[in-house]
Amino acid sequence: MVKLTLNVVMAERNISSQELAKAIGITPANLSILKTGKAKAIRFSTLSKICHVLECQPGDILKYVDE
Amino acid sequence: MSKWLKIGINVLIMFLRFGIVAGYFMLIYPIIYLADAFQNHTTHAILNGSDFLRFSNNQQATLGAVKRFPSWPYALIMSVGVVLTVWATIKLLKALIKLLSNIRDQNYFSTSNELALITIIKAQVMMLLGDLLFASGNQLSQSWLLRVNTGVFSETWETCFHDVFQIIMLAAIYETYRHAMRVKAENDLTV
Repeated sequence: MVKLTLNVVMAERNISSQELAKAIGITPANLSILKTGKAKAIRFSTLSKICHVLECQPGDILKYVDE
Repeated sequence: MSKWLKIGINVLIMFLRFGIVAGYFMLIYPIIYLADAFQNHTTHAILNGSDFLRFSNNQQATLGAVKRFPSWPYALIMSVGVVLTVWATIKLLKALIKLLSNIRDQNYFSTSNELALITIIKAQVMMLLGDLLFASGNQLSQSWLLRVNTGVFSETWETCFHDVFQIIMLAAIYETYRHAMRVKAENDLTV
């Protein structure tokens, strides 16, 4: 399964959830869904914005883990 | 949602509430059926009632058939049928009011809608059982006394077939709605 490691990248960049949510233009509730792994899917547009703000590649925040 | 649609839904809900009250009044029918059977008036009520029509003027029920007519089974079948049908109708109307209220409040995807649809299907199954009893009762009056019921509870075997068809249709609607709920939940979790 694909896991989001957004928490790790956010900690490395020292950015809070509130700041990231504001910067990428999504609600804190939706960011929380992403961070807790409850999200069923992520839009390319959201992924692009996250990568732009955190200056990273999609591979940095998405990891494939064997179930 | 337009103002007129909201007004329309509110009017519809009001009529459905009247329907529920009328449904409770229908519960007087079992008492009438049982009272007729108790007083041995069942055959008289069928032979002379305005709700029962003859097949033709040339055919008359024999005196033996009139005497041997199973009044008590007929009264019991019809009474239980009325109770089942009224109970199902009230349940169905309440569920319909719930659905319409949710549409009015623009609450399209909610578990209460799903529950209301399940209630409607259950009510329809109860109606099928009620209609099977009515069809049996009406078959008795038809076979023994040559009278066809055209009154309030004049359901026939054909009505039961329609009920089955309605249950299938409602089940299909419910399944589609359930699938829509799943799609909505997935959409809500897409960021």
